[in-house]
Amino acid sequence: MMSGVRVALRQVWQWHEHPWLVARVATPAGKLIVWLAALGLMPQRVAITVAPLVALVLIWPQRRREILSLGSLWVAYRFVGLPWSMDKLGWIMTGLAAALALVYLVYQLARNFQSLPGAVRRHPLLTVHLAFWLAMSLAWAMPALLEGEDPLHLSSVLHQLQILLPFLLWRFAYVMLSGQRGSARLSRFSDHLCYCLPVFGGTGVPYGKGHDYLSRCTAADAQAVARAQLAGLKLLALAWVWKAVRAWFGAGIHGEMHGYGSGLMLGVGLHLPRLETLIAGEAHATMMTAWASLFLELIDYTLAIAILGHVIIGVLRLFGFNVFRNTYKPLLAESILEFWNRFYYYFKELLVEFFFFPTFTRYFRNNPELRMFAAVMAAAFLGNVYFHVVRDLDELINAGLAGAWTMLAPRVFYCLLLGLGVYFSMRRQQARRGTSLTAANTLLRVRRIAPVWLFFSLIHIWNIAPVHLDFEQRTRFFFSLFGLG
Amino acid sequence: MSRASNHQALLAFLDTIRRPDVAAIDLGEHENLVDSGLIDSLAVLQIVLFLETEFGISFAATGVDPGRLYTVSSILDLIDEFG
Repeated sequence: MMSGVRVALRQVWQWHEHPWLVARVATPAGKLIVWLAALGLMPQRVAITVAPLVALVLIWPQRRREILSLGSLWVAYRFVGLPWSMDKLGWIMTGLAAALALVYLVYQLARNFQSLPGAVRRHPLLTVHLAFWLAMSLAWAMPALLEGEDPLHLSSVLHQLQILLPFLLWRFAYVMLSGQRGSARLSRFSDHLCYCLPVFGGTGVPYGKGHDYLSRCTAADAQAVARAQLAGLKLLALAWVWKAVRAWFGAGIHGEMHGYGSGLMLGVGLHLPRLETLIAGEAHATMMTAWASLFLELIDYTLAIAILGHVIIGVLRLFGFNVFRNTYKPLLAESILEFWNRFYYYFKELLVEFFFFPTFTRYFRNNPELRMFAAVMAAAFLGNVYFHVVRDLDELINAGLAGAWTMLAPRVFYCLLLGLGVYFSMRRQQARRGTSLTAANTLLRVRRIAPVWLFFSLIHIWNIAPVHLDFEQRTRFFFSLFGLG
Repeated sequence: MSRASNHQALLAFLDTIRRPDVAAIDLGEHENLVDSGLIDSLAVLQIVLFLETEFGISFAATGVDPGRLYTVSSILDLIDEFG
């Protein structure tokens, strides 16, 4: 009886795969309805740029990469950072050309990968990173070298490059990976431009990865396109729901108002302090309140990550790419490894592809234990720290050496704990492989999930955003949770 | 070795790392191993180890493309190409 209800509920939840609906969405009227629904569900700032392109994809789905590349011009323009005016037209065009030329150069390198020097072919990712640091060093040094003589306004162009390059770095790494795998050889420029400068959104993390993954996820026929688009609408709707939940959560728990009718909760809210306020020592709380704030912060952070990812992946699916979700029920994960896999999928994939596998396939091949440990730490610890150094480079440089270390130290410790947690979780899972798991009743599942929440809530103390919270403050708060200090 | 014998060897190996409630033999050649529930993402590592030891494939130069390890058919293609 219960399993029958479960199956029925699952069918309702999987409405986007219903053959009847998929068939209707593939018709012209269905496409119009999809477009209108997408328009209503997308955040306004996204809809302005994306909606016209989605309309074009609904008409010419096979041209999706070229259509996305049109959007890339807009993304490049935003990076140029100049408001549109006729007198700045020359600069805007120069900035646009520089951004496109950079992508084109890397595309050509990947396309002609076999003709590159042996050292580059053996270490394509290392080459990308060396080139990045060389370009960034030039961009920093150049204004001083010009000594105020800058008739061509090179400083402005270099400043734009400093902002653009960290965004492009991991995307270029994916382009070169396509070169190494041979898939870039027959690809077109638009195949790479569309994810290097993605109109569907993104951060330093390339959502949807690169050419190879997008090619594998491309919906091949009208029915598959319809299914991907319905799945995209579902994610956009979920993002909207989570936004409302988060607003109500913030009002009910912390007494903050963020729209979505959350003001109704203010009178009855718990008014618990935020975790960052407690860490900073700006509010006092009982031990129980501190623990409550700790766990609630994990829920809030998960919702924030889910909302961001659902919008980006939802939009990408509207373009007919059946890509994985970025966040998939991490709070129901029963191991640290599973949580890591489900929480921020594309960041984890970046670390796995660019740090885990290269370490795993090259080093300690005769020592399986060390091989696994080194690969996990290369990804979850070193790679994770490195990613954030690149992302926050501007702030770190401005902070000076001592300031940069103050900013970085909590992150380094967080990544170390994460790496160790993932490694031991991996070992545990390996040891369990082949043995049948006990049937998971609710109580047992809660017992498996609780330690995962505990682990990620605790390490989040050293991960929570405000950079002014130093390592000592965070560590002091950790001990205070156990009545120490 | 022929593709058929590679196929047999691969299925026998997948049987040792699969989840207990899913049978490798029932799986289509193009079905995604992770999506089908046969293996978890960690098992991809075991597949890499298997290909290194059984077929002498070295991923050091080409890198690992996890996408090529997700179906029986693509793993067999990989063995044909590098094994």
